[in-house]
Amino acid sequence: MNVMECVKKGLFYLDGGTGTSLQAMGLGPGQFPELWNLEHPERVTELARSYFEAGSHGVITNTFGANGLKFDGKEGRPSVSEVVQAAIRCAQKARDTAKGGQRDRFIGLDIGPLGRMLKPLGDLSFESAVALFAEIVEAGAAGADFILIETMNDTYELKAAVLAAKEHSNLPIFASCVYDENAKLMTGAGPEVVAALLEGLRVDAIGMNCSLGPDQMQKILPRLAACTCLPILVKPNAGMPHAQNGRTVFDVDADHFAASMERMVRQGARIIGGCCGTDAAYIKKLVEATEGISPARPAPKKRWMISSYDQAVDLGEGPVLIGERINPTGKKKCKEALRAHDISYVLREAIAQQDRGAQVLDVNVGLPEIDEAAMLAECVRELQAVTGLPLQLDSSDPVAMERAMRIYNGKPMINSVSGKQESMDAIFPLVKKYGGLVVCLTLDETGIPDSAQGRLAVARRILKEAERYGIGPEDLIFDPLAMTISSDNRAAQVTLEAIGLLKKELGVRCLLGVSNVSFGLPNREDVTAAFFTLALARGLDAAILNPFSVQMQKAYHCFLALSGKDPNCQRYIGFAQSLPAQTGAAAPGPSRSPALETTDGLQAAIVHGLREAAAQAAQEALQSAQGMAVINEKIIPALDMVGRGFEEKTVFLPQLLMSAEAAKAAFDEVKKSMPASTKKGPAVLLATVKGDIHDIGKNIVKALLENYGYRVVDLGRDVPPEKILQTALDQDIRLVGLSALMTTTVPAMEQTARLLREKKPGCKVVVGGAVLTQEYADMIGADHYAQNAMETVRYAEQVLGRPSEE
Amino acid sequence: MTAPVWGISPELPPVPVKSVYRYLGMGRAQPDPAVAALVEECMPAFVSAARCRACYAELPVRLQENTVDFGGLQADSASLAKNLSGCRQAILFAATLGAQEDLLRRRAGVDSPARALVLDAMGSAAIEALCDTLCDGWARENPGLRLRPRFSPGYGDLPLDFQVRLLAFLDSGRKAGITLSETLLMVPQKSVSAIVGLGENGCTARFHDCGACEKKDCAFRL
Repeated sequence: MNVMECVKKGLFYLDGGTGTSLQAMGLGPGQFPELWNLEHPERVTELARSYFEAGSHGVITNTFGANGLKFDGKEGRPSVSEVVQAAIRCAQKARDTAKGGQRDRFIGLDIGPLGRMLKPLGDLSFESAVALFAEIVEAGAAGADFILIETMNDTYELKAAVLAAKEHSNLPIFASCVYDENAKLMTGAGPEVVAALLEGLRVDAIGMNCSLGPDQMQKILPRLAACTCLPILVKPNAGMPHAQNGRTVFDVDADHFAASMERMVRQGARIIGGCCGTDAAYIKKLVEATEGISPARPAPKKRWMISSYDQAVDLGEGPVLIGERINPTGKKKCKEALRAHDISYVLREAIAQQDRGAQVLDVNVGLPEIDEAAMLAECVRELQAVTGLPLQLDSSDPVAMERAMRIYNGKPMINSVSGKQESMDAIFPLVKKYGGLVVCLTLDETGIPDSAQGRLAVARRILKEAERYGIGPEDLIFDPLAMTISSDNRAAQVTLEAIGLLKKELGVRCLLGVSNVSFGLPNREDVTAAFFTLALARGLDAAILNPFSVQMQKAYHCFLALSGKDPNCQRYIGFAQSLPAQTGAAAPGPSRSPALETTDGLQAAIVHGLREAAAQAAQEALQSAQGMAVINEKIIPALDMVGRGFEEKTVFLPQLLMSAEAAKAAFDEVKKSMPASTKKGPAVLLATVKGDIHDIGKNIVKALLENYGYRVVDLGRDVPPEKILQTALDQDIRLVGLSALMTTTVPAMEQTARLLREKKPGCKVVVGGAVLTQEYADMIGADHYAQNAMETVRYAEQVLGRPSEE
Repeated sequence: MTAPVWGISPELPPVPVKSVYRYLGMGRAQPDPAVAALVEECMPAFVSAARCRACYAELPVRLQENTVDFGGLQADSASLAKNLSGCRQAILFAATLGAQEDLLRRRAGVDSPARALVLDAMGSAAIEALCDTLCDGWARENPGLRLRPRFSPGYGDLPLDFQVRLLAFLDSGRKAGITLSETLLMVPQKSVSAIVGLGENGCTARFHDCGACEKKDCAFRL
């Protein structure tokens, strides 16, 4: 019998704690338990044997922290494969020599977290994490029957581990996370989010372990059971630890543990064992208390899940709004931003859509002149660092799609597959491997069927083909295609009819990109909104639309209220009250100091850091003055006033930044009024040096430089010296600003400065950051040390001149 | 016998607004209304994103000239030995506001550096307040003993890379979700690790005495 047959048959017993048990056998804190596989194999074997004899079906190897970050095979340290293979030998010996216990015994290759956080929180790249996990799998898979990925507190690391396991073995994968008292992982995911990810990745069992005792886990179990059809694994600690005569004692004894576990078995736990503080006595009691009980079978779920690192969205609980703004098609500004590699534009569009109620963000960066695969991957990485909204990856290039799906932190929406064989052949294998919920366009090799029946027929074929890959209808959403009514009078009717038909005949979910319908007509948004309402009434589950459109928002909120999906019309009322978004020129507060006195409304708004007021005052000023005059006579002098105040210490950094933001809002208004200018200010390259992941200082400098008219090339954080040099060469940059926070990253700064001096002489280097001083700056050969952001601006003026005066 | 290491989830203490202004570089200056409003506006999101975790171990201290031996963990540091002189016990701990607080600040930075700055200052003020609260608790649990000022890797001659051994000893990744980057930056950002001596006499537990500090050009000096 193999592992999964054994799991299918009934309860599957795992082992108890490893680390705490080895500590009880003499392992000291701070010592690596995995070293004992080599130094004291007899003790590790003894522990494993005790679990087999107590009744465990599956005992895991002593490899929780056996990764290449700790075991690199250098300077006398053993390598990963030495440690892992020794662990396997211990487990095998235990299995072969154990007396009594289960007839079917299995060895699980244990994989714990790497102990280093992945980007964006930490500095470890996703692919490095996959490679580190792969090394463990390669070393241990041959001697194991299944893989247990456990104690994961970050969905991204979890995904890296699962991918490594899938790519380097054919073993069943059990994946278990560590939840806190609020049922969340450290990075914020609840059980629903984790389940969406893991079901997408097609693991074999899903669960929770460590940190909590059985009674706390019992509170989380119903949530997990409600959102997964996979076998559920539960491996709690022996309660909470406390001190007793200088020893660690856990507060749940073996009897209590067994009784709690029995309750969880009745709620659906099938793969059970213990974590910290539990030993063979606990497992023995656990087996005695539960043997013979048939665990509850998970009910089939009707859910259409997608997820991010901390949020899950059920497209069956719609209607769901998908923001369409990150897409260059027909959007000039977006095109320009992508060509200029301006990722911050993409991020601002994302946040703005989120603020307008978008629940999912479509991401399309396809432009003929850019490397779509690289750009899509970069945008996904950056977007998932700033927003928890799930993403809809939108590309017709399967290579770009695969790269993005791989690095996406969650289960994405995929836009799209069609009934064309070629399309299904490209997309479905990716969905099978990485997980995803796919938008299915009801068209095929012969084009878009004219009739609703025709589109239904295509949908049937897609469903059937998906099934061949094990992709069920809960991972598909059908797009019956909204066509332009100005070219075909019946277009909208056919689409609406198709929605009804798809839902009635196939029971599937439907989605539309609604904006197309009104193409070529005056007052497009009115038409689109009306169509949207009609589609919602037919049961539309999700729409790709412009969340900035007030008409669409109105249609959506009215529909929710009218269809009974808005209890007490609360959401509608809240929306309606937010509608007359009359910010008004907020009255400026009392002036900060006599030097900042101004009677001009726009200047006052900037000086006082009032964004909306500044934008509105700029609009008013533009009615009586040219754009350039508004900039040179109002905005710049106001900024100067604040800048001088900062230098004189009458204005503080937060005020300086708020003024910068207000000035930016005013600039944006002026720009709208002026013909697009191709003139760009002089460029400054900014980066936080390699190894440094703190970037708040750099971002402050960026905001101010932009305000003063400089074009900032922002390379982000943790940037290798070579990349900085290459960019400086490519764009002929004359000023580079580097930031570092700690002494440990100053060497990287020095290296960067040296490289620039050698390979791009004449390019000035200005440095700053918490740890920097004039002495440090001199030592590493920087041209200038800036103690604060204004000093950087002044230095830029000195080196590059003042943009507004050019 | 091994010393137990505890992982705990303390409540977030009230964020001391005065400290927030201090970390904003405003010293004792009165905030102007716009800044005060921004701080107020940021607070609820900050409070709901912060998820405090800590881990600690109470250990015996054996001092030799320039070496401190905690039993299972040694530090070569004259300054730490001086800080702990007269102590027979010490608490080694690591505390954090968690990863979600990092992400909140990152998101704020997308369209408002001012907001990101305020959240950053709040994080600094809050993690210090959390450490104070933890220390107050340990002081209460040890009547008759006085807590020494917190001493962290990188202070005096205690090398920053002591952090690697300290956090491994505390199993901080598993117990509190605190890890190090390759360059020894703590992740999540708003995290602190430190050693606090418990002595029968001597130094008081005044942690933020700017007057006693030698860094006279500190931007945050009061």
